[in-house]
Order: sequence, then C-alpha cells, then structure tokens
Amino acid sequence: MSKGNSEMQALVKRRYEHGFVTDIESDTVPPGLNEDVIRHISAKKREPQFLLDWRLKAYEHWLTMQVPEWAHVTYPPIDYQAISYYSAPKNPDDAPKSLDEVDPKLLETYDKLGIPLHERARLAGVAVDAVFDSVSVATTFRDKLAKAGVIFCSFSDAVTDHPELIEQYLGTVVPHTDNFYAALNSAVFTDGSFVYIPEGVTCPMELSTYFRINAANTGQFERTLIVAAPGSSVSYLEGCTAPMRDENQLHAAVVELVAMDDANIKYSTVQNWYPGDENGVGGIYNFVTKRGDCRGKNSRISWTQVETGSAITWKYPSCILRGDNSVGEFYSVAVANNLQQADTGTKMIHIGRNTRSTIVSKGISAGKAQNAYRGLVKILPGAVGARTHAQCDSLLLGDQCGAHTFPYMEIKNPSAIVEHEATTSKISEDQLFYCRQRGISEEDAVNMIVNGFCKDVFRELPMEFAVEAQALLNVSLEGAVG
Amino acid sequence: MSAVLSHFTEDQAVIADSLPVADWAAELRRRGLARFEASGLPTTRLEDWKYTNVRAIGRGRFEPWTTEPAAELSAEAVDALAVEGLDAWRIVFVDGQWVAHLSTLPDDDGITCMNLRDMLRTAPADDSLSDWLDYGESGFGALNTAFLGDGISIETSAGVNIERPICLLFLSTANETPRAVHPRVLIRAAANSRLSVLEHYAGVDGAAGLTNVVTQVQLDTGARLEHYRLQEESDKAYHVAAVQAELGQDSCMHSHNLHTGGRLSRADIHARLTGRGAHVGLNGFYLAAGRQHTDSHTLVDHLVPHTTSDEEYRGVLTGHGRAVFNGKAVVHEGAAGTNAQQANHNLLLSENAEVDTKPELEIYADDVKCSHGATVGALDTDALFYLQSRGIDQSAARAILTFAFADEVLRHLDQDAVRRHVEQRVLARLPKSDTIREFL
Amino acid sequence: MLSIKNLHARVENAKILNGLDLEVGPGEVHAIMGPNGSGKSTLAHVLAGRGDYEILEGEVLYDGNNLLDMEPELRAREGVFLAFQYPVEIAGVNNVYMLKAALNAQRKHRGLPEVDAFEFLKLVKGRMQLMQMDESFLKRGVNEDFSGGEKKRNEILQMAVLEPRLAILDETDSGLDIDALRIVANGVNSLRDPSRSIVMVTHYQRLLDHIVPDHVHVLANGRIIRSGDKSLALELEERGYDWLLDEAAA
Repeated sequence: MSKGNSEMQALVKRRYEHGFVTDIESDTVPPGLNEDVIRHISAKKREPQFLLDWRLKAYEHWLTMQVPEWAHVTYPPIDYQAISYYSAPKNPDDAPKSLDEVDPKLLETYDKLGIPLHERARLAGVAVDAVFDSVSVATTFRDKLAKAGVIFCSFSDAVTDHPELIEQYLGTVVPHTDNFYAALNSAVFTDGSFVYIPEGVTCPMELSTYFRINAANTGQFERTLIVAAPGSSVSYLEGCTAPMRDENQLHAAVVELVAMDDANIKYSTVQNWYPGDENGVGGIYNFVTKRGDCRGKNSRISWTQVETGSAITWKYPSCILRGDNSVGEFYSVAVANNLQQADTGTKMIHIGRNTRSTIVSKGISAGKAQNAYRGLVKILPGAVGARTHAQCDSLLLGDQCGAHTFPYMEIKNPSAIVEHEATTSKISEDQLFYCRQRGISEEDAVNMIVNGFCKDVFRELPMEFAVEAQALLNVSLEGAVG
Repeated sequence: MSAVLSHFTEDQAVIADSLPVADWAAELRRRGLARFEASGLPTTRLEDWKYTNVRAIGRGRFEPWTTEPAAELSAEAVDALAVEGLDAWRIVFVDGQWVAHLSTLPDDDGITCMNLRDMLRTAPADDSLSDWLDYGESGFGALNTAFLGDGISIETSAGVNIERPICLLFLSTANETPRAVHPRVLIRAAANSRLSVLEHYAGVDGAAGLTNVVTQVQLDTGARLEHYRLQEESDKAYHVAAVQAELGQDSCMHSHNLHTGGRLSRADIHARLTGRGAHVGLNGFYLAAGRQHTDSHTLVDHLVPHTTSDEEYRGVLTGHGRAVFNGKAVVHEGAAGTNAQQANHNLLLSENAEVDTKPELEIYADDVKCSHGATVGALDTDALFYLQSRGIDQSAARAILTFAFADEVLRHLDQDAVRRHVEQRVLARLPKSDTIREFL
Repeated sequence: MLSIKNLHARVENAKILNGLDLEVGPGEVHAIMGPNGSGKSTLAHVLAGRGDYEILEGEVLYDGNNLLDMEPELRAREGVFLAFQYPVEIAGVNNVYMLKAALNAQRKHRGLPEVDAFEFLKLVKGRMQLMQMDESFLKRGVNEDFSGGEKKRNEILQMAVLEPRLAILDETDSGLDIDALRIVANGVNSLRDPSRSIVMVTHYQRLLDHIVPDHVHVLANGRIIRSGDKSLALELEERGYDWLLDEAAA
C-alpha cells in the first residue's frame, strides 16, 4: 500500500488528550521505601493494627523477591527508592464530606476527563469513586446505594467503617506473597475502592471508579476489593488517565474479586494511562494484578478490558474457578502504538466441576510497538467436565511492530474440552480498496475495520463505555497505519 | 561443582582414552565441556524446560560410551528391532557405535556416508567442520559436543536424487550400568539434490541408558529432505534429541517425528529458513502410556521473505502418561510474505494423563499469514455412540476412534513401511487391536 | 460522461492496456466483451483507481474532469461505482454500517445532510426487497461467509443505495445460477436511467439477454478491436472470438 501508506502516516500525529497537570497542593511523602514510610502511611490513614501488621509482613516478603523477567517487555530497572509512596491532595485529614467540599480545581480535572461526577453522574446513573493519586476524593450516590444495602466507598473509608469485612477478605484472592508488584502494593497501597453487595441484591446501578496519577515522582498503588455475597450481582467500571510527563511513573494496583454462590461480577476497564510520546519518552508502567475468585457454585466473573494506554502493560486479569459450574470470562482489546509494550492476557484456573471459561483477545500492534498475549488455562484433576475456549487474534498495522501469542495450557483431566485458536493478519489492500471504492476514506476504513476486529469485545462493555472505548481506539491509532 | 557436573566431567576425561580423537576434536570437546559446566543440565526454571524435569538424568549414573558396544547384537536381533519391509540402506549403531558388519552403505553416485568416529580421529583440522560441530544449544547440546565420539556424516552432490532412503538404526542394549551415548548426525544436501533419512532409535527390553543425539542439517538451494525420527526406545530409556536445520533458497524439508518410546524423551526441532521460498513441514505423533513423559519442542525461524511452514502434531496420552508440546514460529523483521500454520491436538484417555501445550507465535513483520490452534479433549461421545449403535462394543469403539485420531498424522507418512510399522505400534498399545485391524 | 483516449496501462511488468478508446454517453449501457486476459478487469480497476496499475499514456475524462488524478474514494463520491468480480470479505464490519458510512461520505461530499439510522434502514430495506435479500443480511459482516451469488447481489444492493452516475459491473454474472442472474439483472435494469451510464464487463453473452446493451465492444490485447450493437454479442456467442482476433491480426 505504498501510496496510501505515506498518506496515512502523514495523518494527524497522535495526541494524548488527557495530558494536563492539575496545579494543586499535595501532601507528598519524600521518595523512598522503608518500614517507617509504611508506618507513616498506615498512621496517616489511622489504620487498625491488623492492617499495619499485614503491610509490614508484605514488605518483609517483598524484600526477598525478584523482579519478574519472563514477560516480553524491556525497560531499565526501576529505582524503588526514588518513588514517593504517598501523595494526597491537600489536607487529607479533613477529607471532603460531599462534592461541594471538593477542591474546585479537582472537579475541573474530572470535568476535562469527562467524568460524570456531578449532575452528569445522576443523568448517567453512574456512581463514581474517583481516586486521585493516592486517595479517594469523592464517592457519589453513596446514599442511594446504601438503601439497597450496597457498600461502595473508598478503601480507606471501608477500613474505618467496615474493618471486619476488610480483615475477612483482604488478601484472600491475591495474597501479599503473590508476586513482586502485588507484594509491593500490599505494603504501600494508599487507597482504592471497596464494594460489598449483600446477599440476593442486584446492584441498582453501574459502579465506576476513575483513577488518575497527577503528582510527579509518585507511584500509584491502589487496591480494589469487591465482594459479591450469594445471589448478588454487580457491574463495575474503571477508567484511568495520567498527565504527560517525561519520566516513567509506576502504577502497581491490585484488584481482588470474590463471588460467592450464584453471584455475578462484571468488571470492565478502559485503561488510558499516558503511553509516553512517539519516541517512547515517559509514560506509565502499568504492573497490575487482577484476580477474581469464583468461590461459590454457579458464580460468574467476567473481565472486559480495553487497554490503549501505558508505556508498559503487564496485566493478567484471572479467574479461579473454584465453585462447581462457575464461569470465567476474559474479553480484551489491547492496542500498542509507537514504542508501547503490552504483555497481557489471562489465567483461567479450573478447579470445580463443570467450570467454564471463555477467552477472547484482540491485540492490535502499530508503530514500533510490541504486543503480546500471554495466557494460562489450567485444568486440575478434579475439574470434571471443564470447558474452555480461547480465541486470540492479532492485527498488525505496519511492519515495524510485533505481535506475539504465548498460550499455556496445562490439562490434567480427560473429560476437559480445551480449544485454543490464534490468528495474525494485517488489513489487506483489497479491503481498503473496497471501502475506498465505496467512497470511504482510508482513515475511516481502517477505523471501521479495526473496530470490526474488536467487536466481540466491545459488545461486552456497558453502553457508555463502549462508545468511549471505540473513540479511544481511533485516537490511539491515529497516524498508525502502515 | 555439583555432583551432576562432576560426574559428567570425570566421564569426559575417561573418553579421552576410550574414544580417542585428533587434537582439533579434543579441543572441541573441551569447549563443549566448558559450556556444559557453565550451564549444567537444564532446570524447570528455564522457560523451555518448564514442564520437563531432567533431574533423573542428572542423578542417574551412566557409564560413558566407548568404541565397544556393551553387548553384541546378532543380525537377527537387529532385524527384529528394525522397520519390517523397509527397503533402505542401513547403518547400524549399537550403543552409539557404528557397527560396520551390520551396515550396508549406499553405493549410488553422488552420496557419501562417513563414519564420524574415523573423521574425528583422522581428518585434518578444518575450521568449517569444527565450527559446524561446535553445537551448544542447552546443556544437552553442550554435553553432546563434550562427548563427541561417533555418528555419521551424509553428503549429497548437486542434483542427485537418492531414491532409496538411508536408515540410521540406533540400538541400545541392556547393561548392568546403563550407558550414556552422544551420537552426532550431519546431513548436508547440495543444490537440487533429494534424499530421505530415517533415524530410528530402538532398544532391547530393559535398556535403560541415555541417548543424547544431535542432528544437524544443511539444505542448499532447491534441496529436499524427507527426515524421519522414529523414537522407540525401551520404556526405561532416556532420550534427548536436537535437530537443527538450515534451509536455503527454495529448499524443502519434511520432518516426521514419531515418538512412542522412552521413559523420558525430549526432542527439539529447530528449523531456520534462511533462503526465499524455503519450506518446512513438521509432522508429529506422540504416544505416552504408563509413566512415560514425552516432550516435543519445535522452533521455526522465518528469517527472510516468502518462506512457509506448516506443522501438525497429535498426541495420545493414557495411563500416567504426560506430554509436553511447545511449537513456536518466529517471523523476523522483514520476513514479509511468511505463511506459518501450526496445530496441536491431544487426546486424553485416562484420569491421570496430562498434557501441557503451548503453541507460540512471535511476529515482527506485517505481511504474514500465521495461525495456530490447539485442542485437548477426550473421544467424541457422539462418534462413540454412533459406533456402539452399529453394534461395536465400547472398548473397541474407543480404540477405533483413537486410532483414527492418530492416523490423521500417520497417513501423511510417505514411506509405507514406516507408516505400517508405527500404526502397528500404536495398535499394539490399544485394546481390541484385532477388531481395529478389521476396519483398516 | 466518460471519455477514454489512448489508454495504456500495466500491472507489475505486464502491459495490459494498449491504446484503448471508449466513449460512453449519459444513459447508455455498454458491454465490453473479450477473451480471458484481454484486459477487461484491468479496465474496470483502472477506472476505479486501484493502485497497483500504472498508467503509461492516455487520458480518462469523467464529466470533463481528469478521472485518473482522483483518489479512489473521490471517484466514488463523484458517482463512479465498481461492482467487483470478487468482493472482498471484511470480517467484523457490519454490512449495513459500511454502506451507511459510504452513503454519508458521498452525501457530505455533495453538501447534503447525512441520513440518520432510521431513514437509512428504510432506504436499505426497500432496496433489499428489490434484490430479494432477506433481513439477515443486515446483521452480517461485509461479504462475510456470503456465497458467490450473495456477494454479487450485495454488490448490486450497494449500487442501488449509492445510486452512482457511472456503474462498472465487472463479470457480475460469473458464478451465478439462472435465478440469481435474473434477480441481479432485474436490479440493474431497475437502475437504468437517462442520467446513469453502465459499463458491463463480461465474458459471456448470457448476461446481455437480461441486461440489453446499447453498444457492444470487443476488447483484445488491451484495445477495442470491434464495436457494434447487441447483435455483435450474438455473433460472438455463435462464432467465438477467434475470427475477430484473426481479422484484427490481419
């Protein structure tokens, strides 16, 4: 596509739209990590003793661990002593009680992000918990949710208001020893969201969290815990953005989901952290551990992710299918452009009888990016009648990028049915010419074909998110066709 | 130095006398040993060895190979182990050592087969030969170089078509102290020549040694090789094999890998497609029963534009059998027009059988067509029911379907005698084989 | 409407068109026939703007403008439509969605307001009745898993929606059974209009029984060697192409 190529490359250079810095005073701990810093964080947050002990245990373990090196990504070693582990917008001690008390500049920030926080939140019927750097700044619709018995609050509030639930569930899905980044998170996590859906309750609205890293030199280590009691159901969405900065910033979050008997959790992510510029300068290192535990029978956990941001993505939302007849799903679109590197996928661990999993992964590589799908399907001897199906497709835009597929399948039960398929292709010239012959510009044709490629994932997203995701994809790939 | 390393090091010192070689070859052995001492035997911490634990090989005490086989084999005993009805030139190795009186060498023009033991002892120093022999992939590859001692070099001249296949029959005898042998096979096909080489590994009952073989293949422009690896070692034996092939322009290699033997076996097939128009076809079948463990690794490097590969491996696992499959295709930067297809299908027939499969793609070019698929499952219950409804009892029906599954790969073998031989071997492992024979 | 003068073109290293001349007036239906490899499909692709063809010489005027200077999508928006011989499959992209994008691209180009989803659906459903297509087409991907006949009907459906001023039909009859051929031909005939010109490229006469041309041309070795009315097609049906090739060579 020689001619079309250069035209496409000359198209609008990609711009990161969320790259503003909010100028507000923040309370930031000096860089460095030691026991005192952890005690300081814990004290700032007035945490109970059990939590401090847990943090210190995690820190001790972290010191013994090695940085994982098996992923298909390369980056210079991170100096963990150069990161500040706590940054809160001013006066976290008198945290805002309602939206009116939130710093107007912060609200402006969310405005720019298009977060439905104020009236728009009500219209959209979305309850939002916004995490800014390290602390949660506002949670909308708390009252309405409370009437349904749903707890949706910042992690810090949950520690204060529902310590027994935190103590019962924290670390039961992702233990503090799980992996290098999860251990680090367990030691230093500052805030995040907590959701508890009581027995038999279907959460009356979508729950949503927006994460933003703002301050320089800070890492963000939030922790999300969602517990769905028997027979309950919830759909949870998270979005992420960060300002443009020259240096790399670390984001090492942990998400734990627990689904009891007949419970249903749908977790959707649109990840648009700053990816760095076209020369690969700056951008977020997104090293995240997400895992769901289908603890009860007939439970279901579904992960949907649209990953367009971050300089490096290292992320494998997983399901432990413990309960009989439980179902795990993973739907993913991962876009890597310029010098982005993504190594993402899922793990489906079949333990219970008649457990089922579905994996649909769509990887798009452009520019000089490297995009890898890495997945594990494990069928243990007791998982009689387990079924799993995986479809992993890669689309290449340009001959400088890479698309890789590393699916691991460990099958220990003869009644299992395991299927895995993967394809790699590019947009053909015939397809582009066909669209152009119908009057559609090359750029629109590419967007159309890319969106078509991702359709099976987009239709799993809640409506508002699907539109956002589609738009985001188009922005991410601007000027990327080659 | 660990115990494993030190006993291999001691043994390597022994073969300086028992399997003497020229100075240049001794230097090569030293290099191999140094590399082995640096790497040791692979551990499960290495990604490529994640599912195959070779500790048993490290712990096992093997006697080093010598110029003498551990036991004599009569011509009848050799025939009993060979592929029946195969019309081929045959070179017999017993416990790794070329046995001239049991072998018939090809007498066609345009093909030379040389005893590697003689070459290592008498050939003058030759850098290109040394460089070629200096193989060091994984600890086992280094070990093979450290213990270089026997094997064969097969070379064709340009344009010849060697119609009769060459069968390399590697036989292991049972010995009180099992032996470790490290044969090397070199195959070099000049431009537009064609040949078939069958490497056949078998052992008498109770043979419990280690065969650690390295095969190196070079195909010049337009050359074609049909390469068979028939691994039927005794169920106590260890078998580790590496095949490394360089494929030049428009050359073509069909690699057939049929693994039914060994207690623990591992084969790495690595094809480097270095010339435009090169094609490699990888065809595999593995069967693991009892406590057998079989590991098939393949790696295809598409290094230049317009190269193709296709691969299909099938496996049947029963008893406590365990199989590992790892197939990887790498499309390097600039290798436009690559077409790489890969499939791995597994049948699990028992509660305790296990398979770990990983088909991988690594792609650094955009004008490619690549796909892979993997399945694991039991027999199709609809098909079973259909056969039962036609009056076939369940165990026979299961055997028939299992055989049919295997035959999807076996029927592609172009040497009828080999195909029949492997089919019989598969049948022998299935119940009700008489019933199935009626259906064939 | 369309004026081709002394057109020479090649693809890769093969010269396919060798001084082709053709004049197509408004409302006229022209059939271009010829043996395999005579350059029929090349002509269709060159008119649509396919990039792999190199124009060596000559000009093509469309409404007095230089067609060869225009990008493929601009030609389409100006009313040039190619019904492909082998329409490509685009997995995942909805058939109707693509068609709506195409129609709106054209309307925008002409300064007309875009049609909304509701209006568009009404329009498409009407045209689908004409082509005897059932509504499941609405939900499928562009040509995805279509049979040969379905693909051809889909091409004419697109033509009916986009209402081009110059339609080029490339071997539209190939791969069609007689019933499908009739449906496709009816579709095309219903689109005949004094302001719309149609150029049909075909190997066989049978399409011309259903869509009767005003002019018939024989293309051989990249040039038109004989022009006539529909009776020429019948003569070709009877006598084949060889006598013409011989005459041309003589």
